[in-house]
Amino acid sequence: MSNVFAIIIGAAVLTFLIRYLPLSILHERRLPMLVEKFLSYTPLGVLAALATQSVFWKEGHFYSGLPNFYLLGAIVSVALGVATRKLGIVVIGGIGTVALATFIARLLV
Amino acid sequence: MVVKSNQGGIGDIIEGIRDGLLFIPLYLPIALAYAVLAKIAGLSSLETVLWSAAVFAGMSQLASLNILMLGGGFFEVMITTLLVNLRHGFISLSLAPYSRGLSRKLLPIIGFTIATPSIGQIPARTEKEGSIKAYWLSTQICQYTQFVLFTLLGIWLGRMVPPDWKGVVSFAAPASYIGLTMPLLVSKPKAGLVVALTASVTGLGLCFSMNPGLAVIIAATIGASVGLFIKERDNV
Repeated sequence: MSNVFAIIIGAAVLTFLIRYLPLSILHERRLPMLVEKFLSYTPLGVLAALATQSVFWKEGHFYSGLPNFYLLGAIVSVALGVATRKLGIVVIGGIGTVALATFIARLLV
Repeated sequence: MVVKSNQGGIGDIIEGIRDGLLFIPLYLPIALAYAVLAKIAGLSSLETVLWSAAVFAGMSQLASLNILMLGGGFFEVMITTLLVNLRHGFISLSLAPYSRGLSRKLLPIIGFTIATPSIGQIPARTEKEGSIKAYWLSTQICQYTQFVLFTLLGIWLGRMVPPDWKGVVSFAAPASYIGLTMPLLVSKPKAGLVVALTASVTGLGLCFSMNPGLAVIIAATIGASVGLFIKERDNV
């Protein structure tokens, strides 16, 4: 694979432009109120959509299989998030739940 | 309580690094998986770590390796990179209002190290006291450094996580996304909930007809648009 370096450089330039240009163009420019409000909501939308996809979408297919340990982990994570609002607790609690469920499931098989 | 200056002190930097380290469970499995797959795809160690250091987008790197192994070339990898990383452009767009107080000279480095957690971290941070500049730079550079170091670790250790536990560790990604939404939800409870639910359902539904990365962008756009129609009590 002699062209791997070309691919890496191409991907690097492309990714940098994707990340830098919106920041640079909108820097110091006041946006209309409605747009600012819209942009204050988009982070939530991105995070919620990503989380939902990783629970229900696996390898290009809707994951309807039960038991869905990720769903269980997500429910616990949301509950911990509401109760504590601490990122570390949410992450550790979520992974712990999925690990425990996986461990128990393997004992039963 | 320490009084923080606008210029940002050591306290902000430490806070940024500390929050950045919270994402070890997010970066470690992606970097390890990428490094292992890169070896299978036939990349040299130098190429493997260079890709992480130059691009810093694990999901697009993994997808690109898949494309390469399927026989794709430069063009196919560029399209994949564009589609998977387009959400970073969206994140950058959403973060632009928070960058107003910062010097223009800092934007290239901030842009280069933008990652998904930033979209939760930076808005949540502005709800608190302290300098956004020092926090923003330190937390993103911390995450970038982790990613490159974990790629090296993956190259040498091969597999640290047993294959049948990889699914468990990977839950770090959705768990951290959920954790990051909380401060945003608390600041706008009613509209926030509507935005989150709309984006969740739309983002999943759109997966049936398009690339999931693109689905996230469209879902967030629809969710945020719907949110505009919801009136918060304490209209901010």
